[in-house]
Amino acid sequence: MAKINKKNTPKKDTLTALTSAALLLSGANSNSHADAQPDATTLGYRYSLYSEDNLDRDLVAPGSTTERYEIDIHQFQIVAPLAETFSVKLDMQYEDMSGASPWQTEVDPNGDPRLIMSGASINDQRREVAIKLNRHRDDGRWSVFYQYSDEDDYTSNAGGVEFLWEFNQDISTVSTGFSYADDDIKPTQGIFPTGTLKDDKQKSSVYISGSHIINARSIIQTALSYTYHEGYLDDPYKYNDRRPDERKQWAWTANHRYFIDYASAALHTDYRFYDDDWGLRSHTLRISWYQNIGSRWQLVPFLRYYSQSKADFFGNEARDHIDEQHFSDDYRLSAYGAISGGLKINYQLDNWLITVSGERYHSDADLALDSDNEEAPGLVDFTRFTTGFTYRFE
Amino acid sequence: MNPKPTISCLPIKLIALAALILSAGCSTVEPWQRQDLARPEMAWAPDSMGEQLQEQAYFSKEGSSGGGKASGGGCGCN
Repeated sequence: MAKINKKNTPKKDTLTALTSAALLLSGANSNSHADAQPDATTLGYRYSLYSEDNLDRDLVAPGSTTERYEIDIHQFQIVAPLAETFSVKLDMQYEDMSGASPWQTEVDPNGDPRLIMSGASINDQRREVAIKLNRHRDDGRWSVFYQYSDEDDYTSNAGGVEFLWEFNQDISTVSTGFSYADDDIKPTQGIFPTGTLKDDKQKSSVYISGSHIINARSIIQTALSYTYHEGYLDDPYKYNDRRPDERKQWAWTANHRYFIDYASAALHTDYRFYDDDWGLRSHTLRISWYQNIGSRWQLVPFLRYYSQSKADFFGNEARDHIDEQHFSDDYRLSAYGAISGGLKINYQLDNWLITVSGERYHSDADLALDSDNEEAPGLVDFTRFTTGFTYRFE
Repeated sequence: MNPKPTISCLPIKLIALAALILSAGCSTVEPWQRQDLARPEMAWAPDSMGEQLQEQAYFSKEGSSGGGKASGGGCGCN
């Protein structure tokens, strides 16, 4: 049962007292989207297997592997209230990665692009720790967070602050935040030469967001964010990768939540428009359906569509761009679209929540809204399987 | 003529659109009418661990990223 906010406890007049009584009966927060202080400690664990499809043999150069990435992921999370008004969230993640990634695209005598892969197998582990401290107030919340990520060839330190204000009887909220990340890159040396031996990059990001309750079953949120990258932005494991040393990104998001009472289900609609000064623009639409079945089961099917245009300096054939200052054959900078879908099953048993989910992701140049003749051969398809639990201490 | 909006005017258009959306609903929903809004499945991110993992996969495999909240650090994900 959800915790009642302090602001909703009986105050001065009769109307407020009646309001509070109604809330106590319904067991509801006035606005769960404002991130009230959690009323109990929760511990969560998830195991995921992320697996990319092997490449078609006719998309890789003779002698090159068709194998791609496979990652085992372990996630731990603790969320706990602290004292009267604080809470803390601790996330830890461990990944074990193996596989290969595209090193270069070359065009064969028939004019078809072929991939040269990075080698038979790359093995790496990533460890991440993130901690977030929240101070909850009657009229909002402020938070500070720190995140550390470490791999054999990559280290990242990031931190930030967030502020959230509720107003208009908690019908509306405005939040803003700033974050900064400092990343060090030290590529592992192997058979193929890397773009650098040691380098670094920085990222600064700011956002402003607002939410508004439309009616008793509907709420919207919109946000605008700006991110500035500078430093070594190339992929060191790609040959001839010459990207600008700065990047300015804009993103606008619009989210909607709607509860359908007769179906006991919630509809989530999330949209993002993205634009940057590398010439890349994208649209992302995600729709999820949270179907309650009785008091213990929940099914969550979702569908996501993504489309991006290519970066100004993307190309499959390096020789055609030899005189240009910037060039990349990274498939992630090509024009393509992607469709993914999946299903999550949640089962609640007393203080335990058991969850199982799966996702299938397929990308193709033909799915792009902005068509382009240069389809990158390295576009990825992947499957993800996740299982885990969350335990609530009471 | 290039129909694509420039970076400099895009934020102004998006802020104006956001303000329009936020000002669209002026109805009053009393606190005791918000029990459906307070349901866990109505949260912006009901499963933060699941969302974190999905965002990381999209971040490392797609050309665009970010939006709507404070962003963390990067990774050497290929």
